[in-house]
Amino acid sequence: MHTVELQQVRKSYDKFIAVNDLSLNIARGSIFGLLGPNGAGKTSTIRMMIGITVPDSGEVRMFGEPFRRDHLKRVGYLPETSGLYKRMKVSEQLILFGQLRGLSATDAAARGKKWCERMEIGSWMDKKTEELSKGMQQKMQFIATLLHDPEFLIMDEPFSGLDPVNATLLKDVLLELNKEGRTILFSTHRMDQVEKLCSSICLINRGEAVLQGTLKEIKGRYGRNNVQIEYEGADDFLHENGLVQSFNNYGNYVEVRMAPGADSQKLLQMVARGSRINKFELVEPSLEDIFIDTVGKTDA
Amino acid sequence: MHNIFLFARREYLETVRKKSFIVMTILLPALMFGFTVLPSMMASKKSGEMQHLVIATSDQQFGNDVRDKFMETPAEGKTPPIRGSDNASRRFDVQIDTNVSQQEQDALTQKVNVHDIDGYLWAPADNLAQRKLSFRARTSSDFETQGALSSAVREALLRQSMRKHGASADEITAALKPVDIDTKKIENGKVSESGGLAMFFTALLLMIMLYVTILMYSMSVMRSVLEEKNSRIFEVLLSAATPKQLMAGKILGAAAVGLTQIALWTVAASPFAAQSISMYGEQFHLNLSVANMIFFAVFFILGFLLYSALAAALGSAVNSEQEAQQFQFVIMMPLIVSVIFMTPVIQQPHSTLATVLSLIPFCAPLLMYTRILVETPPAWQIALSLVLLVGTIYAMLAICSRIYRIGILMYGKRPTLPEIVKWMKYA
Repeated sequence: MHTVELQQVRKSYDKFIAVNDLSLNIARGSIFGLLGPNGAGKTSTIRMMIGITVPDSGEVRMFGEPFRRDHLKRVGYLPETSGLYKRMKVSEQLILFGQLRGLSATDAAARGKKWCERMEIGSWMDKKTEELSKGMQQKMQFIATLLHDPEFLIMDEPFSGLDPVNATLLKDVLLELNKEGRTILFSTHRMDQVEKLCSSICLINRGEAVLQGTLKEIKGRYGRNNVQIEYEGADDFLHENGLVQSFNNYGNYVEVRMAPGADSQKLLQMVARGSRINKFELVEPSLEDIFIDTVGKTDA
Repeated sequence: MHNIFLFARREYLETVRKKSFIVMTILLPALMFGFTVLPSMMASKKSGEMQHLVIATSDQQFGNDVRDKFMETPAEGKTPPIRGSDNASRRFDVQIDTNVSQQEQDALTQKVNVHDIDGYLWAPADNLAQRKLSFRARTSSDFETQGALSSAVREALLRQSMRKHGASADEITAALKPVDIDTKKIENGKVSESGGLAMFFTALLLMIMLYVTILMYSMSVMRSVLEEKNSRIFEVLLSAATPKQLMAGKILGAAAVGLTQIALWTVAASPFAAQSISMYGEQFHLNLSVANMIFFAVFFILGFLLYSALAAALGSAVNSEQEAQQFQFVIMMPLIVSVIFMTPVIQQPHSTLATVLSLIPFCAPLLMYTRILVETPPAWQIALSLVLLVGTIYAMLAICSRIYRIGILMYGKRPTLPEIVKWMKYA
C-alpha cells in the first residue's frame, strides 16, 4: 500500500506552472526523497499533498483513500522555514500544537517534555521561543511535528540550520521512527544529506519529474563509470575528450564521469603521466552527479 | 470549533500579557481626559496672575458700569469652581482713566509696551456714540476677555440709556437679569437627567473612544497577521487547521481583548459616571448609563468584526507595514468620514443625512451609536442598521477569508489589486 499517491497533479499560478502533471507514489514504511533545485516545485507539491492548496487538476490520495482533511491527524509536517510563535513559551507552544492535532493539554505536555529531553532542549521549556537559538528552534519545530505520533512525516529541509551533532541526533530519531514503520518524505536540494537515507527518490525540475525510482535502480542505470581521483600535479588529463565526459574539479581532488564505453585504465595511465596519484577509485555516481547530469540535460 | 477556540485563546492571552495592553488601558482614558478636560482647567488656571486693564472714558459712570459688569463676568457667575481644585476665576485689576486726549492714548500704548498694564479699552464719547471702541492689549487672541469686555460695554450702554429714561437702579438690574435655559432631553416619555451640552460631550467622548478602539484593534489584527506571515508560521498551522479557523480565531481573540479593555474602562469609569465635569466654563454630567455601555460593546464588536476582516485580508496580502500603509487608508476612510459627520449627527440626529449615514454598514457602528446616545432613534432603524451591518460582516468575512487564504502563503512582491481580485475567485 502507498502512503501517498499523486496522480497527474498540476498547479499553476497565473502563467507560471509550479507543478506540471506530476505523478508519484510513496510506499508505506519507506524513506522517500523529493529532490530538486530551488524553485523546482517541491514545496508546491507538498502543499498539495497535505491540502494547504488544491491542485488545479489531478488526484491526491493518502493512506489509500482520496485526500480528506482528517488524514492530517496522521501526518506531521516540518516546513522548510521554521514557523513558531516567537513570544510563546516553548512548553505552551508545544501544547498548542499538540492540541491542534487533537491531543489533550496534559497529554501534549507530557509528550512535549519527553521529546524535549530526548532532543536535549529540556532545560529550555520555560523560556520564550525567541530566546532559543536557530538550531534549538529547529529542534523544537521538529518536536512539534512529532507530538501526535504521525504515521507519515514530511521533512522539508530538516537539517538546515543544524550543526553536525544535532543533524545526527535528528537523523537517528528519524531512522528509529522509520524502523517503527513510519513513512518519511524528505524534501531537499542537499543530495548528500539524503543519499544515505532514502530508499526511493523522485527528482523534479521545473515542476516535472525527471527521474524516479528506487535509489539502487537509478544508480544501477548509471553504472560504475565514475572515477574519484586524488592527485598532485597537472590536470591535463581532464581534457582528454575521448575519455572524460564531464568532471567536477576541487583542485587536488576530482570526480570524473567517463565517456560511454571509455576504459578507465586508459585514464589512469593519462593521469600518471603528469601527476602523482594518491587515490584512484571507480565508484557509483553520487546522487548529486546524477542530479546535476539530469537537470543539466533537461535545462539544455 | 475547537481549533478556533485554541487560536482565539492564544491570541487573547498573548495580547493581554503584553505591556502595550496595560499601557493602552491606562493611557487612552488619560489621553481623552487630557484632550478634553485638562485644557479648560489649564486655561482658567493660568489666570492666577493679575491682569491690569485700563478703561479710558470721559464718562466716569459708564466706566464704573463697565468695570462692575466685567469684574463679575465672564465665568465666576456661572461656573462653580471645579471640585477639589483651588481654581479661581480670572483676576483683573481695572482702573478708569477719564483723560481721553491723544497724548494719554500714546501714553497708555507705551504702558502696554513696557508691561505696566496688560491692555486698555479706548472709549471716548464720540467713539461710544458710533459704538466703535478699541481694545489694545499685548495679546489680541484672548477671546474670553474680549467677549467679556464687549458684553460689559453693551450692558453699560444699556444701563446708561435706561437711566436717561428715568429707570431706577433696581429696575435696571431686574431688567438685565440673565436668563438660564435648562436643556434636558425627553427619553421614552420621561425627562432625562442629562442636559444638552452634557449629551454632546458624552456622545463625543464615547464616539471617539469607539473610533479609537475599533481602529486600534483592527490595525492590531492586521499587524498580527503580518507578523505571523513573516514568521512563516502559517505553513505549520495550515497542516493542522484551515485558514478560516485561523482567521476566525484571530479575530475573535482580538475582539475578546477589546471587550476586556472596555469592561475595565467601564468599571474604572463607574465611580465618575455621575460626577460633573467642568469644561469650557460649562458644567455637565457624563451620561454613562448601563444601556449606553452595552450598546457601546455591541457596536464595538460589530464594527470591529467588519474592519478587522478587512484588516486581516490586508495583513495577509502585503509583506510589510510600509506596503500596508496606503491600503490602510482606504480601509479607514469610512471611519474617518463617520468622525467628520459626527457633529452634524449629534446636533440633528433625526435629519435625513444622519439617518442615511447611520444605516450605511461601514458608518453604522459609529453614527448609529451616536444617534442612540443623543436621541434614541426609531427601533426599526436600529434593527435595520444592525441587520445590514451583520449581513455586510458576513459578506466581508467570506470575501476577506478568500484573500487571506491565498495571501498568507504569498511571499515576495506586493500584489496588485487585480491580483487580489483574482485570489477571491480561486477555488
